[in-house]
Amino acid sequence: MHRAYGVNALWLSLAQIADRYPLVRTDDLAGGVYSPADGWLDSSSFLVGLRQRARRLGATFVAERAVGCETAGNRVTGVHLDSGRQIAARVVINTVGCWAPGLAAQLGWKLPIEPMRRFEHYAEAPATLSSLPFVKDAAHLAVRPEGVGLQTGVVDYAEPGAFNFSVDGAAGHFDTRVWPALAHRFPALDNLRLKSSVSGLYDQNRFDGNMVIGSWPGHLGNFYLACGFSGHGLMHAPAVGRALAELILHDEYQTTDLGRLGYQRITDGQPYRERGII
Amino acid sequence: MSQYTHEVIRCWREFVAGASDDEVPDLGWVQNGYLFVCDDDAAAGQLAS
Repeated sequence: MHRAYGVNALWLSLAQIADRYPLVRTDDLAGGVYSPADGWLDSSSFLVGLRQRARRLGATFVAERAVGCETAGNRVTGVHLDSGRQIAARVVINTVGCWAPGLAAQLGWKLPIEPMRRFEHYAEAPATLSSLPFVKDAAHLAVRPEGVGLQTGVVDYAEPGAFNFSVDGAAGHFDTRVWPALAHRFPALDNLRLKSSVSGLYDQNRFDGNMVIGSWPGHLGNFYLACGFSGHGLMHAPAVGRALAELILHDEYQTTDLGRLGYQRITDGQPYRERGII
Repeated sequence: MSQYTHEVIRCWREFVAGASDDEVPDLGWVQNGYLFVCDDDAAAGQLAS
């Protein structure tokens, strides 16, 4: 299917994985999907660049927190800020990540989105990893080369929903969850040294692990969502921006139909899970 | 990763700064690829097809 849509994705047999990436243990695998055009980047720089672009196109950033919306009939007419100020608005897009449910709830939307803490760990490794791709396996292990070691993590979907940015417990999580998974998939890396850990929040959609995009037909026609990205926002953000712009300007998606990712699927109890998300 | 994200990465300087001389943040883009390995025959069959 990927290739039918022009995505450069290759199926790798076990022999091909072993030949290309001898560090990867393959005796318990069935194969792998490799997309050579993908990679990783500095997400902070990406954000700074997007903001520069937006400013160049006329956007203004207000460093205040949106705490509510003003409505009239079935339209949103403004946004209340925590300073007490109000900004008039013809269109409001709720893109505030983990905080999106609070703002949406005031308007009657019940979003199944929670802040979910994730740890990322940096470890020095005895083996040279620089040629490794970003590797994920079914144990929710994610690994990529970084400096003289690797950046890694294991998603813990049992993490309770909370605005918890603490790195307390990160070393324990590495020892009990990450290191065993790493040592299993990369036996040559069983002698790692954990150097640092950071934490951050996914805006995790507990309903189906996918983003919520667009409006809610029949309710507040000029209020839109772009939230619940569940850890893959950067991968989709430019596409979502384009699609939402089309929806707002033309009242329909034109290049990419994201209708199935709308809020209606939640009220209808129709989850839209992506099987490839691990 | 969406094709639109790829387009932004590929045209990063122009995307951020256009024709201006504005400083553009270094993306630190590393195109080493993405490998999803699968240990379940049924799932692997779906992914391979």
